[in-house]
Amino acid sequence: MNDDDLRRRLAGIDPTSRSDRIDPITSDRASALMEDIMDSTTQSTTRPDRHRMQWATGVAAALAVAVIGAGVLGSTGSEPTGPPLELTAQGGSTMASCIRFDVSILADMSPAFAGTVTDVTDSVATLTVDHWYAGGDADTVEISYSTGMEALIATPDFEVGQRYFVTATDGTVNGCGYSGPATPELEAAFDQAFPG
Amino acid sequence: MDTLLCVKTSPPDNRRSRFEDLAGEVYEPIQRYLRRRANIDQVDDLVVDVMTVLWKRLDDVPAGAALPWAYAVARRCLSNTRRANARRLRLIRKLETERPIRDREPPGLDVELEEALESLPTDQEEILRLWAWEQLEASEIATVLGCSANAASIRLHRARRALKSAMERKTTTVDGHTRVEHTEEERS
Repeated sequence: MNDDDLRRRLAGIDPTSRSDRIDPITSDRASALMEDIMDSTTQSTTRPDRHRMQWATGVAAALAVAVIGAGVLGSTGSEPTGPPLELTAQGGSTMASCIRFDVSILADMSPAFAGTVTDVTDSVATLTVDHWYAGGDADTVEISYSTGMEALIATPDFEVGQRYFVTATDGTVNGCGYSGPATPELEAAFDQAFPG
Repeated sequence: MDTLLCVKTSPPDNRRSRFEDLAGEVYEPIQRYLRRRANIDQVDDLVVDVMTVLWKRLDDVPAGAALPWAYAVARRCLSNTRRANARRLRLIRKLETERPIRDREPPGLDVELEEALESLPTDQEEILRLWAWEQLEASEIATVLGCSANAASIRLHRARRALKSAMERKTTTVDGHTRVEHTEEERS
């Protein structure tokens, strides 16, 4: 069987190939839906340039970064059954400094996700992801602390059972309000920063 | 630390016109994409989610590749819905995972192929669906999966080979069910 034959045969088991339940774009329902979307939602603005993330470079450069899973950063990633994403959290440097929270800066961060902490050890917090906003598709994320959790200054203190919103840059968890326990305000900021 | 924000906007009427053109191109294919993969009772909500994202991110839609880009949006919406489903299931201690209740016609037209396809690793199954059901070429599949065109081409080639192999080598019949054995290479 050549590739063309295989493709035709696969098309034959397309579950929608004989379906009449596809709503045409010319339907009244489709027209009403598009009008509702255009009337009720606002457009996003163009995201800021990557160079505005340079504030994190000094901290990130000193950290060990471990990312497992090809194509995790900056892509839509693999299937949800992929290996855990590994990040590093370290805020122990006295040189670390915060910038003010800004949704347009948040929008440039990747990966970004919401998840619940399922396990915490002296060196690793494991989160089960329930929503990816950017840059990944793993079901779980492991955040390692290279100097122990008590050394953290600006990154969240993860607790089992608590849901968090987390961002990272170059494999390192961002603090300074860009990661933290789930609150309606933080969730709204993530929804605004990552419309897709 | 303050920086200049460049905000790109378009006249409202132009945006509406562009979105209507985009909707005309992707609305029906997106429904098919989701009906092939999502639980039936979640398809309508997912369609709304995808179209809403396309409206919000209209300025990011790449010229000449709107449909693959829309598939990538749909893929992410679907993944997040599946995670929400799993989270809900965990909360009620229902740990069993099931294949989605898809918008299927009655089975049996090509059982051999269906079983061979479903026996493949998930990523190979998906790339073959994108190729044969969405009728995408490797460069378009790359847009959906977020990988390079070269990587998509290689993965597609390997998936086709794995499917043919699964159909040819099949197999052992156990209690009336057909089972396909994998080689290590096909699992990778």
